[in-house]
Amino acid sequence: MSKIVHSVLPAIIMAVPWLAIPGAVLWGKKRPGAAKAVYVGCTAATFLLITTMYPRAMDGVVSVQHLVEVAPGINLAFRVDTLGFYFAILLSVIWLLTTVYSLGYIRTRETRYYCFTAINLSFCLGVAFSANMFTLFVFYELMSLFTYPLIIHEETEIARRAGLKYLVYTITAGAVILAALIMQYYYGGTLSFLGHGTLNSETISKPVLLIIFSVYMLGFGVKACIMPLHGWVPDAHPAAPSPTSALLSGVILKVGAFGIIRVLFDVFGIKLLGDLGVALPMLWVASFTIIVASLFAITQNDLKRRLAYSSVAQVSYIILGLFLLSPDGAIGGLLQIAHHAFMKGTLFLCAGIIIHETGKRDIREMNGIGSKLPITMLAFSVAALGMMGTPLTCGFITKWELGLGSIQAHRPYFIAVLLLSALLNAVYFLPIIYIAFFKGDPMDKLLKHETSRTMMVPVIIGAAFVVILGIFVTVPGLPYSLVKIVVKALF
Amino acid sequence: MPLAFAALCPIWGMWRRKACFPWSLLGVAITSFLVWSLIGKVNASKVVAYNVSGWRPPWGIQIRIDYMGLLMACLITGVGLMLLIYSWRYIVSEIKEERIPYYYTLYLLIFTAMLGFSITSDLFNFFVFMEIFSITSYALVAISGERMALRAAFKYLLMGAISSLTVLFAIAFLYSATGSLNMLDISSRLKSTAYLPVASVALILFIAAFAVKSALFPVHVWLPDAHSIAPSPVSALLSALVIKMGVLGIFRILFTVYGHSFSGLSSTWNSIAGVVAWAAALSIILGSVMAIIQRDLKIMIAYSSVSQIGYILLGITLISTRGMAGGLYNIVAHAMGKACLFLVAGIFIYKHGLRRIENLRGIGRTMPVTAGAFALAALSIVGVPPSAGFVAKWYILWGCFQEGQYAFVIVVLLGSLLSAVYCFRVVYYMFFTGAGRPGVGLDEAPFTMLAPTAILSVGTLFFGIFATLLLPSLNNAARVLLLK
Amino acid sequence: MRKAAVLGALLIIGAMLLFAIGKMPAMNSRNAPDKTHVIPRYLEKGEEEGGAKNIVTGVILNYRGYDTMGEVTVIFSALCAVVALLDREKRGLSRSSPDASGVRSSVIVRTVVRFAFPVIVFFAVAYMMLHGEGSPGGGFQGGAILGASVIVFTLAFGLPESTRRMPLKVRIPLESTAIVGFLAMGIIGLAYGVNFLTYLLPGVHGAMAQTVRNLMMTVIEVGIGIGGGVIFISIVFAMMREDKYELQPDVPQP
Repeated sequence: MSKIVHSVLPAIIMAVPWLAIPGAVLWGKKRPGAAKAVYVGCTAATFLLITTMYPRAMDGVVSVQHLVEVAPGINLAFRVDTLGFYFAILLSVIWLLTTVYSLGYIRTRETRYYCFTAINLSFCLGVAFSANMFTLFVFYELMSLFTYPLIIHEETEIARRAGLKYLVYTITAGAVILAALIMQYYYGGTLSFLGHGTLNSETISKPVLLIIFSVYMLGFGVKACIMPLHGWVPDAHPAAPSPTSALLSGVILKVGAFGIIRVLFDVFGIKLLGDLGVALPMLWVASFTIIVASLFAITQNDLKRRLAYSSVAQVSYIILGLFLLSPDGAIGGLLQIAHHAFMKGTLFLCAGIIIHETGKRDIREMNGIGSKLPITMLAFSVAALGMMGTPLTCGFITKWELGLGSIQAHRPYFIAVLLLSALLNAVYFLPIIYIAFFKGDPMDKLLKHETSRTMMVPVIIGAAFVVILGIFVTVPGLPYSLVKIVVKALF
Repeated sequence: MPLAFAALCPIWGMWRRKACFPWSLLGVAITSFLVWSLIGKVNASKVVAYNVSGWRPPWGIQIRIDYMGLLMACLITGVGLMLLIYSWRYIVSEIKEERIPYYYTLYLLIFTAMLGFSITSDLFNFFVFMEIFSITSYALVAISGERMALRAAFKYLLMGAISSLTVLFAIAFLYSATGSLNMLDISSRLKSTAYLPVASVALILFIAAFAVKSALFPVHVWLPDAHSIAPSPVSALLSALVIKMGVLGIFRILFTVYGHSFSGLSSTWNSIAGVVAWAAALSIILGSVMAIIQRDLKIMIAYSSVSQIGYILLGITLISTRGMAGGLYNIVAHAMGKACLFLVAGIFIYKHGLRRIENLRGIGRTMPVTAGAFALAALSIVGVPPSAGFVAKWYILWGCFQEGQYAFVIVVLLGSLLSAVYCFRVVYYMFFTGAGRPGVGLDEAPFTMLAPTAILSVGTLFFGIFATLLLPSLNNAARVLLLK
Repeated sequence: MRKAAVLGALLIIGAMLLFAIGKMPAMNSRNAPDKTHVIPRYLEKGEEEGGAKNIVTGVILNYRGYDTMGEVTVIFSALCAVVALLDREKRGLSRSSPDASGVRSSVIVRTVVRFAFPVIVFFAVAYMMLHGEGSPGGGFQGGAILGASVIVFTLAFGLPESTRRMPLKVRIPLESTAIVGFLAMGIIGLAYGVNFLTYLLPGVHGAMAQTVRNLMMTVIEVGIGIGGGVIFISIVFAMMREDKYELQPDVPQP
């Protein structure tokens, strides 16, 4: 059993982003500089505070804090285990990068953007820190709703449509999760995360367990964009401003995956899932999503749309890794959360710079853009190579672990899925790089100008992470070490 | 036996002549204070009984405050106080000057009658108070004197009068079958009565009549007109409290008078509870659908009440402890949420004369507090956690599972999806459309209108997070009533 | 379709009512529940406990006094509703416009009414209200007669005449006498430390107690009578009144 300590830190950390709101509201119009400073300061402070929990997470110590009992037996409570810490630190880093980036990118309705981004950070942390399914659901729902203003930020007709689609998907999913939640509570008697499954097959009949499982998957699958439920993703990503797209892909889709992880590890438990025999269907669904979404991505000409489909495919790597139900598979799946966040975050931020500087979204119009925006496109290429799984990038590590995992699970044929997916990734990313650097007219060189520093720096850091995570894999404090601890506790 | 209580109900009597705002405020505030002072006593002794005129029941009239009565009384006083404060500035704009004193008089009367209705344990007294709040609510709907208002009030009057008459019939039947008017006495005497058919017809009549008062699905037709045309604080009062009286009526009849697991009538009782549950389910769906297709904000909110009443009655008639706790909790959640929505609609009418939803474009920019209050209350109506509406739905769903009523699970979830559609549509118009007019800063409503609205909306959040303040009592009450 | 549905519903309700009436205990049966439970106590001890020779009065004012207070309030609510909606008297304003309706009836009618009026009022007040606790009659009946007398007077002499004799400032305080009477008597009980609307006060014994009780009930009866009567009158006035300026716009006439 892991050691348990009480700590108010999670609650404090969650409160910090809210401090950005008064700053944004009071100074938004008159002193934009101060508002921005408060906004970035709060995000950075959140990040720093989370890092203070690092020693505990490395020791596998669980910090718990009980907030309030909403109803008898149903609590709002925080519990930070290594997995939660891993997710929290990851999302705060991504958030910090996009926050800095957004200072340069967002030029309209800044107040609203800052407020809702900050609130969403808080809610996402709430999901990461939640001690039971109820708390997770509460913050998950709030996060879903408060993402809406970010998606329709530009208030164009396309954004409205996308926002509406997003709302329909997400609210329906919320109701579905609620149903699953109540079934879990009614049949299982508790919603708490205890580090192992709480449902057991002795008291609950198998059909009921299957129903609970599938309803959960339906609910969280919408956010984690498992294939038939992914409909909102390719619309919402292009419509949202680029830092928001980066957040959506880097973090918010992962929140759905995080929900699935909790269902997997803390509601059912690995053993029970193995007995239920649901892993194989889930693996096939994930594989289907990976292949088909990649094929869709090839057909897209809008850069952000292509990236969005790529995200659909990549998030299913997580699902794939987890449902292999083998230690290496789990490591691969969990690593994918962080690795994909950096890769896809960088890609979206680069796409944002392209749109911001040239106004072009269509890949076919991007001839020679690499000579105009060399650093951006370099970062883009690094991240894209990562997506393809090139060695020395973090994408390779993920695929490697997933491959090991599928052998470990005696299901080696999923390696074929991974390879096919890498191939398809190459098919849709290499042309972009080719068009950017080797095609088009050298006249553009004269117009060379990079974007502002606030947008450049996050992109460079993101690209650097893609390489660092691919080379210095086992350095303590980087995702691999954390994931290792998580998986060791589980298997 | 709290002597203080006696002053509670009739205290209003003195101030109708000088009916003006501060005077009624004083009265309502004193009454509220007295009611709240009772909370501790009821919690300590489960029930507080008071024999008016000193006669023991069944001879005299007994006032009996159980959890349910206390809950309703607290709600009436709390929400009533807020609405009264709101009225002060608002009604001046909708009601002719010379009618204002009568507005306050009627307000106090309806306030008193609802309190009396919640706490009496005598069936005829029940009827008398019902008549008072019915008559006053007809008048309040019509008080603006406009043609539409008179029509709506007349429709309301017709349906209300028929239902009152039906209640009277039912009381007469019950009296002839048992010879008593005290609810508990009737309940015990019903067990040995030889006139079961009479009692079951009375039961059907009661439920039918109170279904009209609570605007249950097939007989809800009066509600959208009456609630949307009345002045906004009155709409809020009607939606938040008066239709709850119908619910309370159904509750009292089903559980206090007839009682669950009561041998002679159990089949009738169960089938009636089943019918009410299905009617409630239909209300949930159809009320939401009707709300979605409305373009007038207040009519939309009114239809939403039909659907929310459905939740309450569904919860109550699930005959499971959790479901009932959820239904009762939704009474609280809906009272605050819906009152807040109507008050916000009232503020829009007061400030800009806006009634149509699409005209609310960008209003969130000039009136952030008002629109924010609307959004918060809407979250509770939809049932997004952590709001009071969510806790209620959670328990109702739980009840559905307890009883294995999976069809109702789908109804409840579908209902909240539909309510999300109509609520978020308004929020969308308020916040995410329309360019903010440059140079126009904040343009909020007067403080006395803003404060009650904000308090009510924060209340929905408060009771969502701190639901343990109420839920254990409700659970206990439900357990006692259902003998489980 | 709609009509058919309504008709169907009515038929079902009607059938249900008839069915229930058929199953009800027979009217004159001595063993019916309503005659064996509460009633006997009222009949046997009503006079002694209730303090009224007229049992009905005893039940209305004593055993179920709270109900009666509620009923008085119903009437008052009705008044408020009517006045708030018809509102021809402009009660909320300090000045109201003159009344326009003025039909005078024949000499014979007026003479008869002039003689009969005081008698009716005397009958209503002295016999029905004051003696209500001892004989058939009571506040409600007295009030009705009182109201009717003024209505007759109004029919004969016209509204202006009767509103001149019973102006608003007299009527408004009187309208609430019923409720005030109840409350006052109720609070006396409270002040003596017993329950609301209790007439037998502790510390008062014997014949004195009887007297006090009768006095209190009489006060309530008179209150109901006058209050009820005046409420009827006001409602009738509000309905009869035709405002001269009602149909004209608010601009000064040339």
